Amino acid sequence: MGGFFGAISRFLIAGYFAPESGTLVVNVLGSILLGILMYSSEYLGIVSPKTRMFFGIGFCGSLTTFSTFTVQTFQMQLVEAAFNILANIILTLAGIFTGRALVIYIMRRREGTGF
Amino acid sequence: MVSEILLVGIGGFIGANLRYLVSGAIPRINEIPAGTLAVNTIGSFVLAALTFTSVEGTLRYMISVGMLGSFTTFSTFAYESFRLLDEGESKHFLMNIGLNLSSCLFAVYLAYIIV
Repeated sequence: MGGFFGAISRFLIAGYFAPESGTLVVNVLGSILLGILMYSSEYLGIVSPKTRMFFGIGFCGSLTTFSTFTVQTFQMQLVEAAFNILANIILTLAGIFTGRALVIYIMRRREGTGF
Repeated sequence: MVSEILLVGIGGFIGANLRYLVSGAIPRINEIPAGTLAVNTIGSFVLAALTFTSVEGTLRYMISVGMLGSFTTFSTFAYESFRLLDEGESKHFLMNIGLNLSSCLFAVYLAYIIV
């Protein structure tokens, strides 16, 4: 079911931008969300396996796309293609990192206030 | 517009489930998450083949945008790469990125010469 909503969200969000930047936006957004989800599950233990499947595999997996990214890259000029590849890889990795940082921040705040 | 959204969603539902089945059936090979690599490569090939034959209308929303977009994933790829880097597996981290990029771009190229 996550795939249903993920694909629709990708279609709607990416539709706001030019095709190439739209793909970059959904890929980065999905990576931030997946980072939050996976590290919440690992560090805080508040995510059930079912939720992880719905949001992680279904929603985030479908919100982001590799096939559109490669086909778009293939149709670009060399310099533009290299830039697109670097932007997608670096920003999605940064997205995962941001997701993890956010979870760690929440965890510290919780400990600090004695939750 | 509503029917397009629905088509994308239905395709996304199918694509995400297929991804779960296919990538789940393939184990890690030598630290490399081969399941994600496989779905990304297959999805890129099929999307490229459809794009170069310029499919339009219903089929495009459901299969190209919905199903193939959701069958492949960037977020899981970014997460798995990030984990490899985090675990100090920098060689496998670079290998995973290089393998995904080269094999997906090659799949698109292959579709380009076949179609």
